Amino acid sequence: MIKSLSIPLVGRKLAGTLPWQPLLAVTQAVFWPSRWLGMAWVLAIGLFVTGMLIEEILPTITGIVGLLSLHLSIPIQINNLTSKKSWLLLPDFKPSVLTLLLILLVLWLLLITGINLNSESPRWFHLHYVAFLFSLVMLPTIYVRHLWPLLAEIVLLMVIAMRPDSRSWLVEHRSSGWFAGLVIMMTTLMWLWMKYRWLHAAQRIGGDVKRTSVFALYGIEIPWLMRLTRRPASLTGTLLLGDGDSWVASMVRATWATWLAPVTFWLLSILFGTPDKPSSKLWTEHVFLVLLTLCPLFTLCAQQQKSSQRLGRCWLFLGGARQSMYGFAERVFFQELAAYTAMTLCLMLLLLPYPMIVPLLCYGISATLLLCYLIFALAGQHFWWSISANLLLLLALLIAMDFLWAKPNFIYLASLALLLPVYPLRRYGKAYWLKLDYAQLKPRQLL
Amino acid sequence: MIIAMDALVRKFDQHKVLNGLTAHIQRGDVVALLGKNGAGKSTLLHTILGFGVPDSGEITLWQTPSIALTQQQKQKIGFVPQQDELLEQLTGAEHLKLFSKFRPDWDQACCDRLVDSWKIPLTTRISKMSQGQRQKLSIVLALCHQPELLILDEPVASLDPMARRQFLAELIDIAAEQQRAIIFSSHIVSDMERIANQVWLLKNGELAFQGPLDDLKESVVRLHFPQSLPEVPKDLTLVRRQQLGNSTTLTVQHWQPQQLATLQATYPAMQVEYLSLEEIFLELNR
Repeated sequence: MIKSLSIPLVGRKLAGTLPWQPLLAVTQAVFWPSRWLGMAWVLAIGLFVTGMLIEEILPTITGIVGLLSLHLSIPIQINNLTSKKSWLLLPDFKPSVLTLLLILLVLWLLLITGINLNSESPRWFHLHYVAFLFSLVMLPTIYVRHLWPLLAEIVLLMVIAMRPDSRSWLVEHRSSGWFAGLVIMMTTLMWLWMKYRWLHAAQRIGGDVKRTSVFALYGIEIPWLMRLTRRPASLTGTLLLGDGDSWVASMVRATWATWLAPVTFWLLSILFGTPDKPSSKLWTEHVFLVLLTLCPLFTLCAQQQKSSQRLGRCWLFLGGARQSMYGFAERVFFQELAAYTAMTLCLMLLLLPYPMIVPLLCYGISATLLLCYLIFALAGQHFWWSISANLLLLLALLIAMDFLWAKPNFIYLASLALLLPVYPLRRYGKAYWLKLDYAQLKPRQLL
Repeated sequence: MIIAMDALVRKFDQHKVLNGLTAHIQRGDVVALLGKNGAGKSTLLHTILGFGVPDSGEITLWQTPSIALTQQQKQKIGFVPQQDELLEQLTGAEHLKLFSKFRPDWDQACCDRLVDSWKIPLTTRISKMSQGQRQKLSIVLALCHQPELLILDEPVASLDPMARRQFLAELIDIAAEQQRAIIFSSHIVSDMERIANQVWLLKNGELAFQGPLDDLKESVVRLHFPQSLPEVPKDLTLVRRQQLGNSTTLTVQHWQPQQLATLQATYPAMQVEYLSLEEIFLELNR
C-alpha cells in the first residue's frame, strides 16, 4: 500500500482526503515544527497586519523584520525534511514542497508590491529588495543543502544596509524594469531547475554530513589544502577540533578564513568596479572593513561551537581528570586564536588606517574571547540557545563598532568592557564542565 | 578487579536512570548488558567511562574513580559507541594512521587482518562510507591497541551477518585470553549468549539480575502442567502464568533443581523447560 502524507494536528480536521492534504502536511512541518516557532510566525504576521490596519510604521516594520528573520527557518526546515528518508519516500513530497515555495514567492511578491505602492520615499533599507533577495536565495540554499548562500546574503545585506551610496543606488533603480525582470527571471529559472533537478532519482541524497572542517563554512573542499589542515599534533586535540591540531593546520585554517573574503571582494571589484559605481568605494567604508577584518575571528567562534560539542570524543584520550578538560579546550582555543590574530593583523595592515589597527585588533580579540567563553559556558545547553545567544551578541558587537569607529579611546574602553564578563564566565564554565555529561553533547550541524 | 560499582545513582531531571547499582567486573569476565530501550544501558556504560558524573555512589576502574582516570589507564580502554564518532573528512587509512601514531600498543598485524577480512575501503572518506563500514572501522580502532577493558555499546547493529560472525569470533578470541574484560550491550541476545559468561539485566534502573549466564539460565524456567492449576504451588516465584485449554504453563524465577522432586510428587506429569537467554529476557521484561 502506498502511504500518503499524513496530516498532522490542525490540518487533520480540515483536510480529509482532499488533494491539498500533502501540501498542508508539508506546510505544517515547515512552518509549525514546534509550538515556539509557530507562535513566532503568528506574532510576526499579527504585528504586520496590525501595523497595516492602524497605519503605524513601527509594528509594520517590526512584523516585516520578524517575518524576514523567520524566513531563515524555511530552508533550514526543508533541508531537515529532505535529510529524512521517511519524508522523501512519501508520494507528493517534492511537488508539495515546490508548490509551497511557489506560493511563498507569490506572497512575497504581493507584499513587496504593496510596500512599493504604499511608500513614496525609500526607508528601512528597502525591504522589498531584502524580501526579493530572501526569496531568491532560499532556492539555492535548499538545492545545495548548505547555508552558505544565506550567510553570503546576510553579509551582503548588512553591507548594503549600512552604506548610504548603495542605498541611493538601489533607490535609483528600484522601479527599473530590468532589475525586477532580472530577479523574476532568475527566480523562475531557479524554480524550474529545482523542479527538474532537485531530489532527482539519480542523485544520492545522503543524511546530514557532520562537517568538521572550517572550510565547510564556505562550502569549499580543496583536497591538498584539507590535507594540510588535517595534520595532527595530538590525538586529543584533533578529536576536539575535528581537524588537525598542529600549528601548520591552525595557520592554514586561519589564513583561509581570513583571506578568502577579502580576496574574493578584491577580485570582484577589479572585475566589476569602476570609480562611479558604489562597489569601488567599498574599500573605504568602515563597516565593510570591520566586517572583513573581524568576521574571521567570529568564524573561529563557530569552530569553537562545534568543538564544545565534541568533548566526549576526546575525553577517553585526554591525560588527566575532568578538571583538566577545560584547560585543555582553552589551550586548543588559544592556539587557534593566536593563528587567527596573526592573520587578521596582516589583513588589517593592508586594509585599515594605521591608528585604527591596534584598537580594532584589541576589540576583535576581546569580543572573540567573550564569545568563546560564552560558548564554553553554554556547552551543555540546548544547541539553539547557544547559537541564538552568539548571533545576537555578534550582531550587537558589529553595530557597536559602527558607532565607535574612529574613536580609538572608546574602542579600548569597549574592549575592556567586553573582557569584564570573561572571568566570571570562565569560572562558571569551569565549574559547570566538572558536572557536564559529555555523552549528552551531540555534534549538531548548523553550517 | 577492573570495574567496581557501589550504590551507583544517575539522575536526569530528578528521574533516576540508574538506581543504586552495585556490581564488579574482573579479568576474563564477558558481561552481556541486557535491558529494554531506555533501561539505562548506555547511561551505565557512559558512567563507567567517566562521560557522566555519578549523582551518588562510586564507580572505579583499576581502583581509580572513573572521572579521574590517568592517560595510562585510559590507554587500556577500548570503546565502540552506539553512534560512531569518526572524523568525517578523514579517509579510513588516515584515521587508522592517526590512532596508531598515538597508541603505544597498536597491533598493526591485527589491524591489517581485520581491515582485510572486513574489506574496509581505506581510501574512502569517512563521510562517504556506509553505516556498516563506519561501524567496522570503529571496532578496529577500539580493538587494535589491545585494550584490557573493552566496552561495546550495541556494536553489531549495522553489521551484516558475515561481519557480525567475524566480529564475534574476534571477541571470543579476545575473551579466551582471560586477561581482559568485556562489557557488551546489544539487542541481538543470541550473539550475547554465545560469548558472555556473565549477565547484567537492567530493569527500571536496577540490576534485576547479575551473575553467571549459566546461573540465570538455570534459575528462570518454564514449568508445564498438563492440567489446570487452582493455585500456584508454594515456593515458586512466578513471572508469568499461561492457561491453554486444560494445561497450565508457569514461568518462574529463582528456580532450584531440587524443587523438581517436590513438585513431581504432586504433579507427576509436569515438565521443566530451560529457556534461551532471549526467552528469559522477554519473560523478565514483559
